[in-house]
Amino acid sequence: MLSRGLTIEAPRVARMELDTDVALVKRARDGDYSAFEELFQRHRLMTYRFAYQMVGKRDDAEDVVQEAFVRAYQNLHRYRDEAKFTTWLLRIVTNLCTDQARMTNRRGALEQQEAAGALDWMTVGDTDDPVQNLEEDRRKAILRKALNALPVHHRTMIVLRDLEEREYSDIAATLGCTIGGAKLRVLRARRALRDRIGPLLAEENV
Amino acid sequence: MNRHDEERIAMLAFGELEGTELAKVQELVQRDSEAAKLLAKYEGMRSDLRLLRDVPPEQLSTDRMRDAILGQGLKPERTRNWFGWVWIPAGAAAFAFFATVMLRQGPDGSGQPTALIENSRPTYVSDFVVPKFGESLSEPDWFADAIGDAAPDVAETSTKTAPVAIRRTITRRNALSKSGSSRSGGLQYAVAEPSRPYEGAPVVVISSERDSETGVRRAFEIDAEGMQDVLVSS
Repeated sequence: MLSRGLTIEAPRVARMELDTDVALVKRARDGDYSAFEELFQRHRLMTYRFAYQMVGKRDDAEDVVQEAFVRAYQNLHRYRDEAKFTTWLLRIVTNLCTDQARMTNRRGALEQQEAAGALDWMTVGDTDDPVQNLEEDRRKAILRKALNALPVHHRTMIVLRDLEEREYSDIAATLGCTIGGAKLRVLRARRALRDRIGPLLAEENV
Repeated sequence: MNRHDEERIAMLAFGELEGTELAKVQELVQRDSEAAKLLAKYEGMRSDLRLLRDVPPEQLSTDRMRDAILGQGLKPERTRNWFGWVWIPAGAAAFAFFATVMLRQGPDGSGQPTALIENSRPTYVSDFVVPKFGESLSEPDWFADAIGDAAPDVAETSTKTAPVAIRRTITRRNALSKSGSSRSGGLQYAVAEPSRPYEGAPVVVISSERDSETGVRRAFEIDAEGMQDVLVSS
């Protein structure tokens, strides 16, 4: 029974693997939802990683990814084949993350005002891995805190380039700027992050 | 160490320098302790950022996505191509047809162009008549023809007569000086057209001088034709 099912499914899987993103988009536009599901399977992890680094929480990141794919599905006619589908998709995720990050910052600031910093650990992310070195955890927490405190446009650059290691050409296409502009933005973002890490490390050492 | 050097050091730390640029910055780091410290900071930041690459496993559900899209009846929006290749030639043909019909027949079917505004004669500046004193300001015939019954108010008000004369109060000296050939002062514009005989009412000039016997002011009537001062009261 199982082997029979596999033999039936195999040609379909093989065909879909051969399909490029552009071909899948075309089929999805024509009403083939399975093609869109294939796009979702291909790029869900990439979008989730980026969203998580941007918003800092798994639930929020998953919501962002789902919303991004829903919007992508509804706006497939806007996608132009000359751009990479991932670039186009990442642009949608970036916009959503920017909105989400702004809301979270506002909400986090209010909560932290009320709780006088008692909720700081919530914005740090998951540091509950007992195997990791304590010093490493500490540095990681500081960096996460500094990253979350960065303005969203700087955070986007750090995540795209230094965490997700996207090419500058990809970053430029995603953000709609030149490659030189992307490089400059990354440099500024790194400087901003460095400036924020210093005081946090000093605080920790006191 | 300037800002440019800082940027190059950051790029070196993140492995984005090559060739001669790389050698230059490495040399700078070797001879400048501040540059070396900065490089260490950026390298530490880079290694720490690697720690952040790990993310908790996602729990995205294909079913949830399907529900979000198909469950709500969402569909990819179609590109609205109202002016596709079929419509462009069809529209052009229809326009050409109507344009041809209109040019051939014209609005009255005669095929000749029709003037919408007919002007039988041009209008000259001389058409505007300056009325004489005492003359009624009735409109010229061509004006009445033009406006027809459209402006009864204008026709009614325009029948009023113009002032018959302009009176001025001047001193006796001024009045007397007008009898001579050299006419100066304000009286000269009492007559609109000096070349024509004055047909209006006489101009009476009241002098500022008072009569020694009666104590009233003297008045003079001016004959416009000869511009002679005439004593009318004393």
